[in-house]
Amino acid sequence: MRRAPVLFALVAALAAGSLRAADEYAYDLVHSSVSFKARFLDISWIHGRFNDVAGKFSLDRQDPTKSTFELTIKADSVDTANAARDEHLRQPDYFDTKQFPTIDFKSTQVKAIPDGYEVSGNFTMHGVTKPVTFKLVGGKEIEAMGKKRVGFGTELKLKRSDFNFDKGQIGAIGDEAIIIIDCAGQRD
Amino acid sequence: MPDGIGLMRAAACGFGVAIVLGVVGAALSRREPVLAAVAVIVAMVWGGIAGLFALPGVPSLPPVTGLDRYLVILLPVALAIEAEAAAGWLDGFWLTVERGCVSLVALPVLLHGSVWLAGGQPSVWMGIVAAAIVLWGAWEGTAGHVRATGDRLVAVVTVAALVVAGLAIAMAGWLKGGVVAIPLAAALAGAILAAGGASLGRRGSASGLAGASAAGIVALFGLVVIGRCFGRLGTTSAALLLAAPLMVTLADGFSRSGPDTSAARVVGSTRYRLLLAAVPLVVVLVAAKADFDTKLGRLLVAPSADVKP
Repeated sequence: MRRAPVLFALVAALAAGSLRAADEYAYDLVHSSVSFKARFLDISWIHGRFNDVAGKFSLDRQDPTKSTFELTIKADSVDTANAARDEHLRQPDYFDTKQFPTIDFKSTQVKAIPDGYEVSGNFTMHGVTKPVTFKLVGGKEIEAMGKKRVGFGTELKLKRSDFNFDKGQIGAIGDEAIIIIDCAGQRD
Repeated sequence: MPDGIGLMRAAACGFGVAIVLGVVGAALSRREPVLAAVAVIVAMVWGGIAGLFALPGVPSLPPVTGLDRYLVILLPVALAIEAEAAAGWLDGFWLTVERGCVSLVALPVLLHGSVWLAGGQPSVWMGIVAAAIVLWGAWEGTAGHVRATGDRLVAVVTVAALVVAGLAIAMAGWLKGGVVAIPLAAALAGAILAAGGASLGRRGSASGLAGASAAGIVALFGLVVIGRCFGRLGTTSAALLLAAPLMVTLADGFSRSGPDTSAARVVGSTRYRLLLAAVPLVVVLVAAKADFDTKLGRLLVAPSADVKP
């Protein structure tokens, strides 16, 4: 009869251990940035950013393959420091934000590498989902301002034509866009 | 998207195919007014297809955007109903029911999957019903008026309204949404010219013309809705564009229904009705140009800019 409490305690300890192993972080919008740049007439770069981003990630330190990353970008929040151009980018010739309001990433596979993680997942933009793989640098946790914090950074190269953007609008602005993600996560 | 020459090619394809098919169809069915009427709708269909085919990437399948659903769902359904009407397969009651059903689903189809229908709040449903009533009234009214009177001016003004809507949508920043209006307008112009010229004065002429005019109204409604909801076409501009052909219809109806006074004759005159339609269209065009100059015009880059190594 004494076995039951012992078994319960063992299960509880294992459960607590597994909960501790995967740390859940909320995306810290204040200290994060999702920006992009694309070639202009193949002579310079146009820079922009998305101001409204949400996400979460869980890091399993013992078994990194169980880690997950999710990011949701509001396409409407595109900001290139030019209001007229931002309006143009929101229209169907570009992001079509009324039809495709979000740009999403959800990881499907995570692998630990020396300075971070190699993350594979599905990137959905403009109604098209494509598998992508990128190197996420970072992952060191520190405690600051009353929270446990972790940060990552990556650069991702995408072709607009792969995501069904209007090919007629690819010319002055290059097909390839570089997306730069620098995000911080926080937990209690 | 095409340059000016590409756009003219698309317009020429739409117009040319529509007028050739319309005239040939009318000539082949000289003793069959019903067939002549159907030929006008068929000419408009193939003119539209030929014109759109000349534009790159329009439409893309499956139809996931508002523009694609407009081109591959709403327009074909409207044209099919008008072909039925021209062929006399259905009586007036069932045509009214069909047009009503399509009017009711037009907005949900055009806005499917977009932020506009997210949440399903009461205001969304009220908007859908209001838009359905507007489309149904305009569609039925135009078809009935043109069928009864053979009035060609409604279709002419619809062509002009389609062109102005396309220009306004393009100048507001949605180039692809704007340019599709040009071959559609050209196909409608070709079809009404064929209907008016080849089968002048015959029963089939008014029936075919009514079908083409009614389908033109649906085309205009759909374009204005997607221009307003997905592009930057303003609500006032959208209302003025829709009002132009409707005012022409109402003015003619008013002059015919009342007593034969000099005022009624003036209201019903072609010159007055053209003026009535021209004012809102010019207002929309001027406002679109002013908006373009102050906003997007400054971002323009000449597509032929040379990039030297």
